[in-house]
Amino acid sequence: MSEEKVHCLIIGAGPAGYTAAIYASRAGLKPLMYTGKTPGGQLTITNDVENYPGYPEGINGPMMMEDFRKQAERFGTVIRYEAITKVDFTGPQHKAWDESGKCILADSVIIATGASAKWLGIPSEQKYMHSGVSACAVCDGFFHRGKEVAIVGAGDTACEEASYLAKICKKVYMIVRREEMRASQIMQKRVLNTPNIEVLWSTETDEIFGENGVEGVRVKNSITGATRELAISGFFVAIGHKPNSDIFQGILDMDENGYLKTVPGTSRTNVEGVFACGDVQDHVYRQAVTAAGTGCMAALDAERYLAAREVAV
Amino acid sequence: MKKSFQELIQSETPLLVDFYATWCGPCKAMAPALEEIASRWNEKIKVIKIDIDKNPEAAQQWKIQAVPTLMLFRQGNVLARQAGAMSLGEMEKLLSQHV
Repeated sequence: MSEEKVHCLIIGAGPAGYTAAIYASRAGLKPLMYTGKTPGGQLTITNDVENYPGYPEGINGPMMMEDFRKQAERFGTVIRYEAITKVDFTGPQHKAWDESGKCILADSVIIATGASAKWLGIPSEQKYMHSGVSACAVCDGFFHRGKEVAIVGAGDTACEEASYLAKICKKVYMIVRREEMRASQIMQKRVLNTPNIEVLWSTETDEIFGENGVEGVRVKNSITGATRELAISGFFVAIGHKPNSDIFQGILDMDENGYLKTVPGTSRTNVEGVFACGDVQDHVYRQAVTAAGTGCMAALDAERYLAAREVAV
Repeated sequence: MKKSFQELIQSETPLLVDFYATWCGPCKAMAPALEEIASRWNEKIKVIKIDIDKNPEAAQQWKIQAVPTLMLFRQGNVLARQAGAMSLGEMEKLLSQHV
């Protein structure tokens, strides 16, 4: 299979990857970016971004990612809409293979693969995937206009999605595992003040059922043990995220949840010339703006690393 | 439009249909990869995009419950169906299995 040499390979295309690309291309590193299957990352499923500085009126997530991409391309970043499936960081030059089997030889690698939605892991969830079960209210809520739906989760994302669904659906059941939510106060308030959202506290999901797609869900109160069947057409999952670090298992240091470890205050991983930024290495802040910030750090760290090694760019 | 879609799926040349919506982020994200597929498979298949808001009958007929949903047709038969965003490589794999 063919080989290609680059100074800087960027894996992933969310705010971290694009920011790294903007800085690396302006520094003359001629970065090559592989986007994976969702260029734009989690922001492609975020309707309104209201906390990113510079957008006083707020902005739609996919549109913001379009802006980031254009800015990266303006300075010469080459973007491929393919995924990297395997890496080898043992040699003097880092290797990465794309889906078609092509090998990229890179002097430096910036990992910005982000995180993806977690699933409950019950069989019926898999059975109705994309036919009533979804992790994206903004994408699939549309199919349940005027109907009743359920959403499981208790964080900011769950609250945001529940509020969104409440606007288009007749009723939203919010399934919360504990007696409290971990969402911010402002988001909790928004949910609790929405008349057509019913929060089911201390409740777990037993099974999703239906003959022709989702028709209902059976939930169980974890204190009383009582079960209840809710007639719904859509079941939304918003129980958090897991880092997209599978291909680096056994290759890079990570914590017990799979988040890549970086040297504090830098983007350096335990392998020389490999840098990590964005949600794949951050389980604390997980914001577009912090991801962009660490993307910038990764590009600057890569630039200094290449300069120190006197790689001519 | 409705008629021509019905005609297109009957064709001998496989037809790859992307059921999408203008408000769907992952659909937008997948668009460049789909364009790449259309040019790579130019000779062998035809690729079209169906906006589910403008063509609710088509979306209903094929029970589209998520966007994007990709469907591959030949002579009126469904060769493959896949909901959710796919990468270029995954689309390649899907096509090489059926075309």
